[in-house]
Amino acid sequence: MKEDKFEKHLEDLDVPQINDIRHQQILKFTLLNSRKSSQIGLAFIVIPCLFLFMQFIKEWSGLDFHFFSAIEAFMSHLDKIPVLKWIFPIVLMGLPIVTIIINSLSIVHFHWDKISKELLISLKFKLFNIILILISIIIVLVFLFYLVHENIYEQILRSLD
Amino acid sequence: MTVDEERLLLLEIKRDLKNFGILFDTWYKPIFNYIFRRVADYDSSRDIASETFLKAYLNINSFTWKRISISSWLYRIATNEINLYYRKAKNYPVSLDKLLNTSMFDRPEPEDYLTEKELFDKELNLHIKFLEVQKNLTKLDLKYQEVLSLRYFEKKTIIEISDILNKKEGTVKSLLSRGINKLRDSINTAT
Repeated sequence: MKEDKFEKHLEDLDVPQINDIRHQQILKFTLLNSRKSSQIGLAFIVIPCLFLFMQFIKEWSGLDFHFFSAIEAFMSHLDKIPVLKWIFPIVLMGLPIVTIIINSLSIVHFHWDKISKELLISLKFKLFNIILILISIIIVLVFLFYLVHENIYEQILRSLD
Repeated sequence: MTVDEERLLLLEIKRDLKNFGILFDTWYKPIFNYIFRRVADYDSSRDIASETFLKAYLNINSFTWKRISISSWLYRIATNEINLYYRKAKNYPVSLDKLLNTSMFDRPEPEDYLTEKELFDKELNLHIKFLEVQKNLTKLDLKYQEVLSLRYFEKKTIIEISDILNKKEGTVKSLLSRGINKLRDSINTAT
């Protein structure tokens, strides 16, 4: 084909045009909410992080802030009221668990391939979401360890005595 | 969307990021189609398009109206993402061969049962001449692929291509001229 003819061939080329893009709205929703999951997650783990940080300072450096002692006293007080005793477990463990769930959902994509009968799981590398998930996992593990230690281990020791 | 409308939209987005949705609605289809015509693969196009708009969303606040419009900026991000895709050796355009070999013509199915991917592949297979050009285009250097696809797939003017690729108009013309010859040689060799 000659140069001018070939150029004409390119100019007249009928190209594919997709007008019905169904995934567009899903992507838009995900995109416009991508920051929300991390922002909500950050808000959810602020209190547990502060609590752990102050506990750490108190245990390891011996420094005792009056503010923290007041919170501890307040927690002990709430613990005695049946309806309100669930507030701190929810704040300290429930919210980090919610953070893990919403941030995981924002970075993990599941796709079921009907033809090959395969479940394809892809992970989006969003550093901030991943950091939030890791921090939340650490918080949950620390409190789980604390619960196990306080409730089970102490009870076993007491029963042995 | 006119230049003034784009300027106004940019101000709205900078005021409230939620307004990015308007830009998304306006430009997703043309950008997705551009990517789809470049890579001719549904899954890759979807990934590249989402990456393009994610980058635009994250960087829209630092976008300043200097010489290029928002639409050219989006095309530039998409072009860079496509180049990145082609530089990854594993994604080199072998998929197109597979696509041609697994033609949908032999598998007529009710439209209700076709997934979006199948519909897109079907649309692609309706354009045999385009596929031939696209397949040979991917054999060329990326600098030729960019200008040729923008000129003949997207019907952009030299000035628009120059804006999108941040290249001088003379350079674009020269790349187009050499690219056409290389593409023609590639097609002639293949046939």
